[in-house]
Amino acid sequence: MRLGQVIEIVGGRALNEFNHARQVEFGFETALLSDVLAHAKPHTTLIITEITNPQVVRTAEMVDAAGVLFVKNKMPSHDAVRLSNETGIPLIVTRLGMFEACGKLYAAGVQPARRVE
Amino acid sequence: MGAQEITRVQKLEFRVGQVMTRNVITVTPGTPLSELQELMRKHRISGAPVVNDDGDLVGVISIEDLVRALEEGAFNAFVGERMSSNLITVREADAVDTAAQKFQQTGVGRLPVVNAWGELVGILTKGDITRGLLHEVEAETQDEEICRYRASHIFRDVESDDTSLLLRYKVAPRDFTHGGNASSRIKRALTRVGADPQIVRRAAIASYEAEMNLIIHADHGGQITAEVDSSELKLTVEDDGPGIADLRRALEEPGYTTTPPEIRQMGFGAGMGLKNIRKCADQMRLESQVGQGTTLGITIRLHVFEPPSASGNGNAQRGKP
Repeated sequence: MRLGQVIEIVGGRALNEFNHARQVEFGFETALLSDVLAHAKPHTTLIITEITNPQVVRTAEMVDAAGVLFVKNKMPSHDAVRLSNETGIPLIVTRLGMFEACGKLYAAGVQPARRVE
Repeated sequence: MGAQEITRVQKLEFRVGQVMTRNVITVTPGTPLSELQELMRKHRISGAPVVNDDGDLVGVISIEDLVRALEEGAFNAFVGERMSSNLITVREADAVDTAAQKFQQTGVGRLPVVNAWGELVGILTKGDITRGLLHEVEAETQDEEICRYRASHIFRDVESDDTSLLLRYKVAPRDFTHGGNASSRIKRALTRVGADPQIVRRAAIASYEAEMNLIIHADHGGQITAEVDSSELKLTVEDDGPGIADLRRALEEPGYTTTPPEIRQMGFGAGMGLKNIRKCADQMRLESQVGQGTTLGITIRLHVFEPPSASGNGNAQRGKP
């Protein structure tokens, strides 16, 4: 799906300017950035998190993530937003909690980036 | 970083005069509305500045003003009676940002542009700004393409028995705000020299984990050196303490960590970093002595710099300006 659809599905809003047509195939919910660095799939992974420091944006940059979705209305820090503008990482925020945000995206076809064998 | 700063300055210096429409169609207060209607249709414009016989700007009339007048049955009115004479203008030398703010604050659709002497020199719409910015973005993209083209040819253009690129970055201890700056620049450098995106990604992840280790653990921070030649990337990450007490556990035991809880809350230090690095690297070497420091060596094979003549090589096409 497209980032624009993600925004609709979770009733979220964009925190910076980005291409809403960018594709999202995988979701990765996390409180652990090393986990993302180890397992995220490139280009089409959406990171879903409560972490709001600049490192979440750096991590997204390193793994070539499609964007970051902040749940529970957690607003990224000023430094994180500034970094997202420098690196072009899309940021979205939603009022939904982690469970509901992931549930809705999964139901709409977003696949888990981390597969349990 | 340098390039980004320059870009920012250019944007600030992006002036109204560069994006405005210069061939302005003007009317006078004595122009009949029927004539204005005809002008708008013919030139496909939705408004026009109003100038008096001396050429001074005295107002602006828009298609909304015209529609309202026609609705009210004022078919025989003149521009002077229906124009808006509350003049909001921008100057040719104003930054585009200033103009954008004026659009937002006033809700008007077009702004007459005047020169330093107050003479009308053009007209500016939001569309003009968008077009101007798009043009600017295109130019920036092209600059990046040129950078890539040049960088990707370094290994062919500079002749020596063994050419390599040496990049050094200092990493400050506990500087979480700037954590990842070095790795971000290494990533960009590798992209510019034309390395395969998958390999760039692996290198960036390994470098970033190592950089965060310096920030979290090293007493005085440390240094990352990236040496790139035509066949491989060698990353050396060094610090002068405190050193790793149990190398075997740090390397082998999943979840083994010495990171304090307040840093773990930030999303790091779960005992995965070194394992991640090893996964990304083709070769990894870790040496550490308590009280002396740690040196981490990472080698990643690039095998990407064949000359463009090699058949089916992805780099060749990426390098084109």
